Order: sequence, then structure tokens, then C-alpha cells
Amino acid sequence: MSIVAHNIEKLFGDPPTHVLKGINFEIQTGEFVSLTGRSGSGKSTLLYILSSLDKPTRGDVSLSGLSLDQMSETDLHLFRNQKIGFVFQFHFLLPELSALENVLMPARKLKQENEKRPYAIDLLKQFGLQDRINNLPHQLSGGEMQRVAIARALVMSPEFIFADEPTGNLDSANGELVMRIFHDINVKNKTTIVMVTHDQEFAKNASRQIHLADGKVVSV
Amino acid sequence: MLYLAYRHLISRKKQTLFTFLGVFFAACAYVVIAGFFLGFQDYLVDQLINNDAHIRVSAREEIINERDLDRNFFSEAKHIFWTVPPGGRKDETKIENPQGWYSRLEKDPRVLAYSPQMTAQVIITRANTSTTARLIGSDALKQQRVTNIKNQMKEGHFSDIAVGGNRVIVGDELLAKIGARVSETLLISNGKNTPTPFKIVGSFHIGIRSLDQGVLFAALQDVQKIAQATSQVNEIAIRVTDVENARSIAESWAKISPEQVQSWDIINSNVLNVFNIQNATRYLVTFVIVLVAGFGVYNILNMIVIQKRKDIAILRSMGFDQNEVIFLFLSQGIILGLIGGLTGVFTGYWICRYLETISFGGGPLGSGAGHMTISFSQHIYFYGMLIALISSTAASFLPARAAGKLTPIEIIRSGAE
Ligand SMILES: Nc1ncnc2c1ncn2[C@@H]1O[C@H](COP(=O)(O)OP(=O)(O)O)[C@@H](O)[C@H]1O
Ligand SMILES: [Mg+2]
Repeated sequence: MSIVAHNIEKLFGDPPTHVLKGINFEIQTGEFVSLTGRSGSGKSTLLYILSSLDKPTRGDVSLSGLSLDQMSETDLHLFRNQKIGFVFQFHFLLPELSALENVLMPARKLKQENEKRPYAIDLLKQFGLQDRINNLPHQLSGGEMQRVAIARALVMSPEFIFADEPTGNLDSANGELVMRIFHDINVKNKTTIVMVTHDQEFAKNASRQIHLADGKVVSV
Repeated sequence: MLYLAYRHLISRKKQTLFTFLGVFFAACAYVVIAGFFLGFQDYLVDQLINNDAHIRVSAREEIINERDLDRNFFSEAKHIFWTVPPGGRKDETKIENPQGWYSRLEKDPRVLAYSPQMTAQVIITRANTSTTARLIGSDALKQQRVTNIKNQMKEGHFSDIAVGGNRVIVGDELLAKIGARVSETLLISNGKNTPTPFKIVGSFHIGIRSLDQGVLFAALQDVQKIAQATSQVNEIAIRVTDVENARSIAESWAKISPEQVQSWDIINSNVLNVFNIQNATRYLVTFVIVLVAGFGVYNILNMIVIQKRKDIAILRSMGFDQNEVIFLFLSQGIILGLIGGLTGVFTGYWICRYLETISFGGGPLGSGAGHMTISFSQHIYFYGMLIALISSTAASFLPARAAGKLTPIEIIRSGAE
């Protein structure tokens, strides 16, 4: 079992609004799951909880058999660094670093930037960015920036990719490029991917769809 | 993280430069101000220590009380009533047991040299001019070893008075005041006896106005004659091997002798009190400097942390923890403190080197160095560096901690919108 969500509940604010009302599902290693639902249905909230960025009000998440609730802060940070790659709607590239330096940033936590450099360059080449390696983010187009962000998510060869509307800011051509990259990673590296999207076309790329409505999983 | 801190700094050159300048000027100003003040103080202390005795043993001025003379006059009487009770100051003050002092000083390895003195208040007359002055009698060869008078002679040699025979050496300003010249003769009297002629054999310039204007030196036995106090001394000037010990030595002697024993720092305590005021001013200025530099660092880093919220969020999602984020910003403050401090201290050093060359009429006491004395003590540079580092580190601490406390999800959510 790669990802296990057990009775996840999430309440926000005061008076509390019940955003997630008991979510249960399991995702196998190497699955490509899309998380759908209309705007405000709690897709992002669930993704952040699954990916350790946020804590559920009740319930527990296990990744690769490890309960997030029981992990120490240090282990959690190491786990995030080594096992998880994030892609958001916004690229979040560091503006003072070049494309390559941005991709290598996660490797710096454990001073692996030199060992990872060939792989980082390889990733950028795979994504059609061989001429953009030393460009700063502001010298890149939106699609290019998002591809650099994906390369950054992949540089540590993570077990999981969590993506929150990764195509949200892109035109359809760039969006399809990103979807093809995700598909390839999933097939080649057996990386487990959980992707939030509200685009039904993109959701069909995934091997499974989890649909949220009214704080609950409607179809698995 | 240091790598990213460095990239942050060089990517916003203008802000970095301004913050750097704040720290730079703080360190530089500290070094110059401290160098200036402490240089002045060192100079003064140096003058006091090198030019004069380190310890003075002087006879106590004895005040006569109502009952002090009872036994001298009426040894048998039980009840004594004075119509006019005795009072006032004892006529001659003298060191009670000078031989005891000499043997104690000879034996003490901490004593470099000593010079017994007889000091008398005298009236000097030349032609129609009279003035009062202080006549100091000493053994010239001993006196030379205790004070720096040998090198402060303007005309003649201090040892010229060694042989006695009514010769005096006169302060240059006193000489001018009475309009006399070397090799002329003065009449000197203690006010009670007939004036004795003394030949002027030299003049001195110490640089302390009260001395140059009001002191004469003569041989000990000549002064004893003028004072009508044969073989008496009323002061012993002492030079010790290590001036640091002067005070404790003086205090230990004071306990075992009836005389007053004072070290140079007690004798000059009014001068040293001025230092306290100077130091307070210096601390205040330093405090303001630190505040200004620190505020500069604080302000800019605070702004940067707010601007860098997105970067912080993504770093956290990559697995960098709170401490690593704190370090990212704290290290920027430390880098600025280090570089600003080093260059500031270095520049301050060269400014001090320049200040040192500025000359002005006479030293702080109206004579002496003739140019500014600046302290180049290692302490100043150490503290200058420390001040730069501490102020910029402390100033970056709060913004850095605020950055560490940011939680990534809020920022990521708002970043998507
Ligand atoms: N920090 C928060 N405080 C209060 N309400 C929140 C917070 N975060 C999300 N919500 C609410 O939770 C609901 C689900 O949000 P979200 O997970 O972003 O939905 P989605 O991603 O499906 O559009 C929304 O109604 C949103 O307003
Ligand atoms: Mg969302």
C-alpha cells in the first residue's frame, strides 16, 4: 500500500467549517491518481494532508507504510526531501537562481548537488530546456518555468509526486506537454502520482480518478 | 543555505550595499572614536606615569587639637582649662622616620628608585619683583631616576644642582614671569629668614603649567637650610618597577606608616575622573551607532522576509526545516556584520593613521606630543568587530525567526491565486 488515507477529517476556522468529512482510500505504488471535484470541494486541502504539508484534524495518513502522525519533525523533513516531489499551479522558482540551480536546490539539503548535477541536466534536456539551463526564471516562459519546477520535483527521484493543478496556469499545448511528462515518469520510474485537476480531459490521463463532493469521496 | 544566502545578497545589490554601509560606518566610527579618546587618555596617563613619581610618601599636615598640648605643658595636672585653647597647624611637617623608609625602600625589589625631598613654600625676589613659589630640594641624581626631569630641561643640566652651593633650576614660565635669565641670581626666603642668593643654573619645561610657573629645584641640603629644617624631609618620591602595582604597594605601605602614601592614580584622580565622563560619552555614542546600524539591518531583512514568503514556502516543501530557513536569513545578517565590520575596522585604522599625523599646537597639556595621539589597542579593533557582528546578528534574528515561523500551506494556497 503506497498511500493510505484513514478517516481524514479537516475543519477550518471558528465557527468550524467541515471541509473533509472522513476520507478513506488506498493508493497502490506506481498508480497515477487524479483528484477531482468542483472548486472549493477540498481537493487542495486533501492533497496537502496526504503530502505531509498539513495535518488532518482527525484521522491518519501513511506513506510507504509510515504513519505521518508518528514521524518526528526531522524525519518528516527528510522524508519530504527524499521521497516527495511537489508541483503547484505556481512554479515557485527562486528568482535569483538559474534553471539548473533551481532544479538542484532540493539536493542541497544533504549536500548532494554535485552528484545530482548530471541527472538535473538530463531532466532539463528531456523537457526540451537544453538551451535554458543557465537562464534565470524571469528569462523563461510560463511553460518553461513549470517544466523546470517539475524537474526540481523529480531531481531526488521521489517515490511520490503531488501536483496541485499543475496545468492551471498553462495554455493547452503546454498543459499537454506537462501531462505527457507526468505520464512518462509514471510509466518509466513507477512514481506514484496524485494530481489535483478540474480538467476532465487531463483527469482521464490518470489510471484512477478520486472525485470529491461535499467533503466525501464520491467515486474511487 | 549559505549558498542561497549569498545569492540573495548579491541579487539585491542596492539594499545589500546600504545595509553594508550602515555596519561599515558603525565599525569605522567606533574604531576612530575609541582610538581618539583612548589615545588621549593613554597619552595623559603616559605623561603622568613617565614624568612623575609613581608613589609619594608625604608627611601628614598635623592639625593641633584642644587637648594635644595638655601633657606637654601640665604633665601633673588633672583638669586643665585653656583660656585660649591651642589650635592651628603644626609648624613643620616632616617624615618622622626617614631612615626607616630608606631601608624599607632599599630592600623592596618592587622599588626602582626613590628620592627624598624637602619642599618649601618660598618667596623669590629679583630686583623689584617678588613672587611665591615652591622650592623642591632633592638629591639631583636620585630625582632624575624617579622623574623625567632630566629630559625636560630647556637650559643647563639637572645634575648641575647636585653639588649644592645655592644653585636653582627654574620653570621656564616662572623665569619669564620674574624676567630673569639663566646665570643670574635670585633671592630666596621662606618669609621668616633673611633672603639667600641662589644662582640660576638652568630652566625646565614640563608642560604642566602649575609646575612650569611655580616650581624651582635645588639641592636637598640647600632647601633644608632655607626651611630651617636640617636633615629633615617631608616627601619621598618613588618609582616602582611595575606601575600596575603602584596602587596596591601604596595601600600596603599606608597601613604600616603614619605618613600619607599615595599612588599616582590617587594623586591625579581628578584627571582620571574626566576619563569617566569621556568614557560615558563614548559608550553613548557607540550605543547610538549600534542602534542605527542594527536598525538598518533589521529593516531591510524584515522587508526581504516578507518579499521572500514564496521562496520560504517552496523551501519548506522541499524538506528544508525551520532552522534552515532561520539560518538562511540570520546568515545574511552575519555576513553583512562580518564584511561590514572587517572593512569598517580596516578603514577606521587608516583614518586613525591619518589623524595621527595631524599636528596641533602643543599636546593636551599645552605641550608634549604636538600631534594627536591615537590608540591602536587591539581591544578597540576586537570590540569594533564584535559590535558590528553582534548588532547585525541581533538585528537579523527577529526577521529570521519570523521567516522560520511561516507555514508553507498558507503561502502556497495564496501563491496559486
Ligand atoms: N486556512 C483556511 N481557513 C479557512 N478555510 C479554508 C482554509 N483553507 C481552505 N479553506 C476552505 O476549505 C475549502 C476547500 O478549499 P480547497 O481545498 O482549496 O478547495 P479546492 O482546492 O478543491 O478548490 C474552501 O471552502 C476554502 O475556503
Ligand atoms: Mg485548490
